[in-house]
Amino acid sequence: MVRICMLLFCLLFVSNVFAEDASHSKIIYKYKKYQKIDLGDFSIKGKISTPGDLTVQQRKRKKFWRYLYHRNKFKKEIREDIWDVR
Amino acid sequence: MRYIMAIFFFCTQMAFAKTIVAKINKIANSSHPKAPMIVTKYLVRQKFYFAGIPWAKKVLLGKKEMITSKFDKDLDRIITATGFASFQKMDSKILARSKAPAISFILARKSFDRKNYKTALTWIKKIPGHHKYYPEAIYMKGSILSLLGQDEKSIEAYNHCIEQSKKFVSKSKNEKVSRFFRVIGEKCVLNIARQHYEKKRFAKAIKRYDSIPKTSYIWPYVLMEKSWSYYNQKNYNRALGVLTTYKAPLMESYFFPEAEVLSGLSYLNMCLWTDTLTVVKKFHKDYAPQSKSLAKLLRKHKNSSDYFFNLMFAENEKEKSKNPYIRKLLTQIKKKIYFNFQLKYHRQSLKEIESLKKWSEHKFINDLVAKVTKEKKEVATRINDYIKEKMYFFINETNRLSEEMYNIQLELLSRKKEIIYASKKEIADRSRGSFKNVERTRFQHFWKFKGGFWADELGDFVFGLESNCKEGSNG
Repeated sequence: MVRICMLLFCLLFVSNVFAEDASHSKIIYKYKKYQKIDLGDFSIKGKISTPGDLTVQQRKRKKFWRYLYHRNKFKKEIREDIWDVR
Repeated sequence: MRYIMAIFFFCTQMAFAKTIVAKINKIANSSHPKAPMIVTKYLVRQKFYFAGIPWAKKVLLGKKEMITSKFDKDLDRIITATGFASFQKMDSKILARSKAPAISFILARKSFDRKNYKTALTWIKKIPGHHKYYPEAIYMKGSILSLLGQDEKSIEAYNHCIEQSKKFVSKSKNEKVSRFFRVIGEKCVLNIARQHYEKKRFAKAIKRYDSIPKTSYIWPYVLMEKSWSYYNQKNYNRALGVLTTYKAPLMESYFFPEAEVLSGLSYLNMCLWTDTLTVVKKFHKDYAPQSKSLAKLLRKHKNSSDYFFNLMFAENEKEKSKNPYIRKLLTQIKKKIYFNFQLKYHRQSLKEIESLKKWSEHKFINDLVAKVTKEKKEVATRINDYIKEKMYFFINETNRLSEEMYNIQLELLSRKKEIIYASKKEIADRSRGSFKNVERTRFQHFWKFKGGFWADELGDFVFGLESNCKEGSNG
């Protein structure tokens, strides 16, 4: 029984291969020798998700602290004024 | 008859002088422990205070029993007449043997110089209220309390100083002496203003600065501190106005590098870039070369003990004319109390030498003349060193502030750059200014000074410049 089944399967496979080979031989591809495409005629439908013009964002500038002269007290003058008397 | 009387008087005087000199000489040469004290007493009686200095020092260095209350009185008279510099060099322990108020003052000063403030306060307490040094001692007390950060107590001391100075001004018969006490009172007012400034009570500080009269010797120095108060109040127009006073011909001899820095900062805070840059450039152009030539002069004569002393008294007119800043600096120094005191001592020592020479030609007197000459030389050296110190101070101050000016210049560039990057423009055009930009209190008015002396307006100038700091967007 097993042998009969194996034989049937082989016969079936062989017939399919032959059938495929027969259909391939029938297709003939032919290309146009000259083709014109009008690009201006194209129109795309959809939404623009990025800005159209070129933009550059200002980066956060580092501010450098610079000491500028300032008077908080006159302690030095208070002391030195004593020596200016006698 | 008149001539006979005069000759008789002269002969009596000569005979009397000879007797006294012989007597003092005998005592001075004796080994008696009281000898230096007696010689001091004689010299003080004859008003030879400078000649008395070495003898008084001998007493202080001798036995403690010799330092009596009578000697203390003589010592006090010597110090008041000759200044305390000669005694200041002595050891504090030796000085403390005397109870003379002038010695207490010297000890207070010595402690003050060493920043030993609490000890200084204990010595000040020992000076009686009637003593000539009292107003000055209270002024020192106030200064010590300020330096110790005791706000209320220092103001209390300064107010007491003002009160006492007024009392001494009314008591003194000599114009120069009364002027001295007036200055002490004004210095106390100035220190109250400084105290308010430190505590950021700028309006109160300005009020105190304003109470110092324009005729005062310290007034030119007050102006700069007052403009700092206006600067802190962000009233830059007034700060600049007050500083303009230094440009008046009357104030020609007063120049402060710090005033230029303050002008630069005021312009910078008003975003008036061109004006800031002008001030910075002017500073480098004017001060740097003058400071260099002054440094050259100082280097050349740094070891001389009398060059600057002679320079002060017009013996070096050529040097003076070479550098106008030297002339101006010398004028400033001439108005300092310290200088005037030393000059007074120098003149008195000269007079004393003359009087001693006239008195007798005795060997003892010749020795005294040599000692007074030595004291005179020391006073001259002190004056010389004081002038030198002030000149060095000017050079150091110029160099220090020159660095600050570079900082202002850098800050100016950085702020201008920020405006360009932010695409902003300045709104105000630099023009002569307008009254609408002048901030006024209810006591400040526009005054035309019609019929007034031209110098009356000094110190009251104000600018009307519009701040350029409110930026608008460009385009």
